[in-house]
Amino acid sequence: MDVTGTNSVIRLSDVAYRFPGHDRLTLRVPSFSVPEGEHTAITGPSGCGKTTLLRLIAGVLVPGEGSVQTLGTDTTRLHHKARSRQRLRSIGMVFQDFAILDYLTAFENIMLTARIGRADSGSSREHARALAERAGIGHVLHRRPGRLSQGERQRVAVCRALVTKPRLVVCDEPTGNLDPSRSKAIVDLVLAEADTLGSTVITVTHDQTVLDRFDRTIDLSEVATLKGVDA
Amino acid sequence: MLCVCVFVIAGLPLVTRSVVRSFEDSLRDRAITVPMIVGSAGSRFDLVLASLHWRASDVTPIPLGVAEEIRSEPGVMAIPVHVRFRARGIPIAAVPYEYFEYRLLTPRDGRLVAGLGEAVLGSSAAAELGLVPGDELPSDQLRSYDITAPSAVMLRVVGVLRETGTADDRAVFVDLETAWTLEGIAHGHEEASSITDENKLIGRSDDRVALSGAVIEHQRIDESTIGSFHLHADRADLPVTAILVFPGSEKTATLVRTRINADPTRQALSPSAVSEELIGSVLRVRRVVDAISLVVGIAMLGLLVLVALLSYRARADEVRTLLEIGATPSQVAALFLTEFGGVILVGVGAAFLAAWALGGASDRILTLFT
Amino acid sequence: MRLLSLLVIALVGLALCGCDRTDASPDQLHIEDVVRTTSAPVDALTRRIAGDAVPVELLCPQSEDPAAWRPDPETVASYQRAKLIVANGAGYEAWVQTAPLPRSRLIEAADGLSEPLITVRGETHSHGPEGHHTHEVTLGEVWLDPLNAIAQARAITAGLADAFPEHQDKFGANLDVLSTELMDLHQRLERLEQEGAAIVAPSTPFGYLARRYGWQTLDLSQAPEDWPMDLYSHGMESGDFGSGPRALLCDKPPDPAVANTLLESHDVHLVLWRTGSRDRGKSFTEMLSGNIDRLEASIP
Repeated sequence: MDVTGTNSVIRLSDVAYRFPGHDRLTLRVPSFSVPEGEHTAITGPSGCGKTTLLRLIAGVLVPGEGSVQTLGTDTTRLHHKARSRQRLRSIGMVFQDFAILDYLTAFENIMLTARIGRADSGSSREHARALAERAGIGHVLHRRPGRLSQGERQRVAVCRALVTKPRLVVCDEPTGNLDPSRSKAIVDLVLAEADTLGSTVITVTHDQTVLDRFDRTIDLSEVATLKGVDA
Repeated sequence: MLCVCVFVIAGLPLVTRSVVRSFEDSLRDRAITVPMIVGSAGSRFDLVLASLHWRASDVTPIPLGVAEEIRSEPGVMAIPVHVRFRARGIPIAAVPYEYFEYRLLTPRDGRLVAGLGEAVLGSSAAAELGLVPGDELPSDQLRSYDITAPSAVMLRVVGVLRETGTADDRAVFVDLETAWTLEGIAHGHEEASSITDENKLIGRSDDRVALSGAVIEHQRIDESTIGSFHLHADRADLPVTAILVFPGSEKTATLVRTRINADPTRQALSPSAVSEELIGSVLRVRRVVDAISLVVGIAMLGLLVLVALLSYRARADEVRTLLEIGATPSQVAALFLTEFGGVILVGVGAAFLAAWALGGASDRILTLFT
Repeated sequence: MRLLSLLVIALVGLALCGCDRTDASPDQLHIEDVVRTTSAPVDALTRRIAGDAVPVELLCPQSEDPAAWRPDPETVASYQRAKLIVANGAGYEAWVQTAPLPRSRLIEAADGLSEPLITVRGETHSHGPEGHHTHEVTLGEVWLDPLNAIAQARAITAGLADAFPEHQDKFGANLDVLSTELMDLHQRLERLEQEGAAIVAPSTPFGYLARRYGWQTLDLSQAPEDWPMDLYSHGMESGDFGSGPRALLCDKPPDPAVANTLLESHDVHLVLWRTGSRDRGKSFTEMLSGNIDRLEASIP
C-alpha cells in the first residue's frame, strides 16, 4: 500500500538495505509513508524485515540506496550524531525485550532518555511521574527492575519512550512477552499517550489481538521485499 | 565486591601510612613537650615509653633525691613520675601535682587528687573501667602468689580528666605517696603506742616500741586510717621511675646532663632523639608493608581491568539499547566510566576514611602495641 | 555494598570518637598570687617578711592543732593553687608529709636549720617488705628557739624571693628587721644563761630552746593530754634538777593551785611560755618577748 500526503511523518522511497555480512540479502522498500498522527501496525512473518524497517525509520540503520525521510528530514544525509540527536528529541522507542537497565531504578530508567538528551529538568521529572501514575507504576518508581513484574517492566519501557514527548513513537513487538489482557493495556497506554501528545505511532507486532486498536495495519510483504536469502 | 577490592588496594598503604604517621606524630608530640628525661641506666626506649606513654614496666627506679638535686639548679623544673603498677590492667601513673599543671589536665568530673589513696582517671580509662567519681578501684597485685609482696590497695576514684588525645587518657593518676604505699614503703597500721597484744609487741622502752610482723597493715585508705599512714624511708631515697626535666636554658640542660651522665647508674636522655630512633624502626617496617602493598596493588589493578572489560562485554545489549535510544558512543562510555568511577571513588573514599579514622585513633593503637 | 556502608559508618564513628578532644580549661589549674601557710608560727614569720607586698593566708582553723589537723580536699586544693606554700617542716604538720602538694612550690622552713633535728620517740617495726625498721618522731617546735626562727625566716625569705622576685628587696629588708629583733631576744636569753639561771623545760615541746641555752629538760612525753599539774612536781622530784629556786616552763596557763604547791614545796616557779602554735595573727617577736619577760620576772 502506498499512502502519500504532504504531511507524512515517515516517507521511504526506493530504499534498499543490504544486511552486513549477507551481501546478497537486501530489503527493498519502493515506497512507504505514514501520515502524521496515524497509528500504524506492521505485521508479517518472522524474518521478513519488520525490525529492520523500524530501525531504518528511526535512523539507527542507514540504507545503501534510496531516501528515508523521518519527521521531515532525510536521515540518510545526516551524520550519525545528528540522527542520534533526532532520536533522542523526537522519536520514542519501545523494544521487544524492554531493554531497561538493571542498575537503575524504575524512575531513573524512565528518565534515561531525558538524561542522555540533557532534558533532565524539573518539569520533565514531573511529566515522568505523571506518566508513570497514568501507566499504573507510580508506586514502584523507586524499585529496581529485578523487583518489577513483566508488565511493570514493559510499562517502564513505554514511559521511557514517551517521557521526551516524541513526535514519533516506534515500537518493536511491545507486547511480545505479555498475556493478551496486558498486551491490550500496554497498547492502549501507548496509543492514548500518543493521542494526548499528537504523536504518530508505528508498531511492529505479531499480536493479532491488538491490531484493532490501530488506525491501519500493514502486512510488510505488501510494501517491501526481502531478496537474496542466504542458502 | 569491586568496591571492597578497591578499598583494599587503596586502603592498605593509606592506612599503614596514616597509622604510622599518627604514631610518629604521637611519639614526636609527646617527646617535644619534655626536653629531658632522667632515669636509671638501661633501655632508653623503656624509659621513654614508661615516662611519656605510661607503659608500666620494670624500669629500675632512681631515688627521688635526684629530682631535688636537679631542682637545685636555678630555673630548672623537675617532675618525678613513677609507673610500675596497674589497676585492672590500666597503668597507674604516680605524678606530683605539677604534672597536672604542666599538661593542663583538668577534671571533667569530680576533682584532682587531694590525698593519699585517691585516684583520678583518664577519660578512656574511666570509660574502659566504667567508673565515676565515688567508685573504688583496687590496684593489681604485682605477684599474686608472693605473700611477702605488698598487698593491693583500694583506690578511691575522685575525678575523671577531660580527654586530651594522648596517653594521659588511658591512665590512673595517683600521687607519688600512694605509689609508695603500693610499693609497701608507706603504710598505715594501728598506733604502736596503743598496742598491748603480746603477739604484736616485741618490746617497749621509754622512747622505742618494737612491733612484730603480726601487725596488719591497712589496705583501705580512708578517714579512719589515713592518719596512720607514714613513710618508712628518707624521702630522698624513695623510688621513682623517671624525672621529667625542664631546664631553663641550654647551659642548665648541659649542666644537668653532664652531672647525671657522670654517674654510670643513671642516664639523662632527650626524648625526641629516642623517639626518632623508635620512629626509624617503625619506618623500616612501613617500607616492607609499602612494598607488599605495591605488589598486591598491581595484582588487584590487573584484576580490576579484567573485571571492567568482562563487564563491558557482558553488557553489550545494554550498550546497544543506549545507542538505539539516541546515546552517542561517548555518552555510553561516559556512563560506564561514571559507574566504574563511582565504585573506585567509594572504595578509595572508604580507604581514605579508614586511614583518617585509624590515624585519629593511633594513640589507642599505640597503647595496644607498647 | 551494604557491608561497605557499615564499614564506612563504623570508621566515621571511630574517627569522630578520636576527634572528640576537648581543650583542657586551665582555670582550675590557675596559680593564685598568694602565700598559704600551714601553722601560726610560720604564718607569723611569713607575714613579717612578706609585709604588704604579698597576701598571706593561714588555712588551718583556730580551733585545730596544726600538728594533728587534716585538711579537707577543698582546702588541699587551695594549697595546691597557691604560688607558695609555707610549712613549718620537721614533720610538725603530719598531713604535709603525705598530701599531694606541689613540692616545687612548698617551703618547709625547718629545712633552713643547720643543726640536727631532735628525735623524741621511735618505733621499730618488723612488717612490710623491709623487715625490721625504725621510724622516728622528730620534735616539730623548732621555732621556739629564736636562732632557729631566724633560720626559718631566711628559708621563707628565699622561697618568697623565688616566687615573687619583684619584691625581693622588700623581703630582704623585712628579714633584716625581723632577724635583728630575734637576735635581741636571743641575747636576752643568752644573758640568762650566762647569769646561771636555773631553768628547767619539758623536752616536749621545748627541746630546741633547752638545747640552745643549756637548760635542763624534763621528759613528759608519756603524759596524757589532760595531764595533772602535779606531774611536774613528780617529775621535779624524780630528776636531778638540783636545789634552790628554779624556773619550770609550761606551754599552757598553769593552775594557780599547782603553781603554789610547786613554789612552796620545791621552790619552782612555773612560767608560762606560749608556743604560739594556735595563736594566729599575733606578732611572733612580741609573743617571744612576752615569754622572756615572764621568765625574767620569775627568776629571783
